[in-house]
Amino acid sequence: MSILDLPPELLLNIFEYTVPVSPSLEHEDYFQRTQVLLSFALVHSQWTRVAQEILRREVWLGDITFRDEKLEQHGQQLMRKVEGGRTLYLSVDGDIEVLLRTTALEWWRDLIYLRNRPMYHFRNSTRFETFAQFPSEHLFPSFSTE
Amino acid sequence: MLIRIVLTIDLETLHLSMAIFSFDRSNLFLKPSFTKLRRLVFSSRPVIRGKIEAIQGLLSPTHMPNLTHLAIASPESSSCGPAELFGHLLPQITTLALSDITTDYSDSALFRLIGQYSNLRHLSLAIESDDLESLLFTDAAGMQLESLHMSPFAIGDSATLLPRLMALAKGEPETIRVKRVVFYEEEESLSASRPYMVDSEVFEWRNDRDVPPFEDFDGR
Repeated sequence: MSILDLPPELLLNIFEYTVPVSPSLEHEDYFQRTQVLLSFALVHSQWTRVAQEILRREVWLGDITFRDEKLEQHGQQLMRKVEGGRTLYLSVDGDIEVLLRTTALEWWRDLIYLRNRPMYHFRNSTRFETFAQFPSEHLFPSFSTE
Repeated sequence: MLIRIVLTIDLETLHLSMAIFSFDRSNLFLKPSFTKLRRLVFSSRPVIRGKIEAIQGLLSPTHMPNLTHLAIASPESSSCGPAELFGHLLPQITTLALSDITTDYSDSALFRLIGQYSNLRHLSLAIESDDLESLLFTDAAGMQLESLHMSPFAIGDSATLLPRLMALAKGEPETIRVKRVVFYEEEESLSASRPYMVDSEVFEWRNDRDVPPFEDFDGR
């Protein structure tokens, strides 16, 4: 058996041990984590899905200051970062209220860790109640039993 | 029969820094909002604005019933200090990390509250204060900790603070009780300060980080 034949579950464990533990406390750690996982994703098509799954668990968004006319464009960029995965750890350097206007709250339904650095000069203030929107209910499809 | 399964996944950690956060009275009417939140971090000197009733209303056991880890870095508020801002949460806090970027941190009111609450088990102090001995042994008198984490530089010029910390680490009677005193120092500077400390082995020394833990402090 070659390393390319490893089952996805085992591959997932190996990749997890290879990258820094989430959540990254420094952006440098996050950058390193991202680089390692992107490299793995390019090794072999079987590795791509596993690497992307771990990649999407942690997302660090910087400079969320965009103007309204660019919201849609940024929303699409963000979508590519998180779609198809469960994001558990989110760091936002910028305006959290803009993020919420740009993205669907559904994207962040699995979040257990949120760090926000709005930066003093971005806005006058951030309303604390904004963060209350993030805790979410995970709804499973209804089904019937007898 | 139709069954809907609802699994609630809530934030467990909320870390806020470098900003102005406002609280208004409408917060008081929110349903309990952070029910699974276990760790709240205010770092990089956040500015907290709002009426004190609105702040205390949200930073309270009602909205954060499971909060046990709190880390605060010298929050600024025009009307009140950390003791008033976070006082309602303190009774349920088991690990508390305090950090400050000013050179002379002193908040007797906060330490007096800390001394009153029996649930606090671990305290991390990344502060510099000429009053540290008074804050710990007088204001926080009665405090019973599993561990106290600090930098040896915090001892400063005090001639009596170090002997009292040693007494604590040895289990001798003092106004507070601490099972472990943990010092953080860069590896290269360990050899510079420890030889001058008599009985330095009564302390636990760490060199895996330069300063006492803050945002990820869990008492270990």
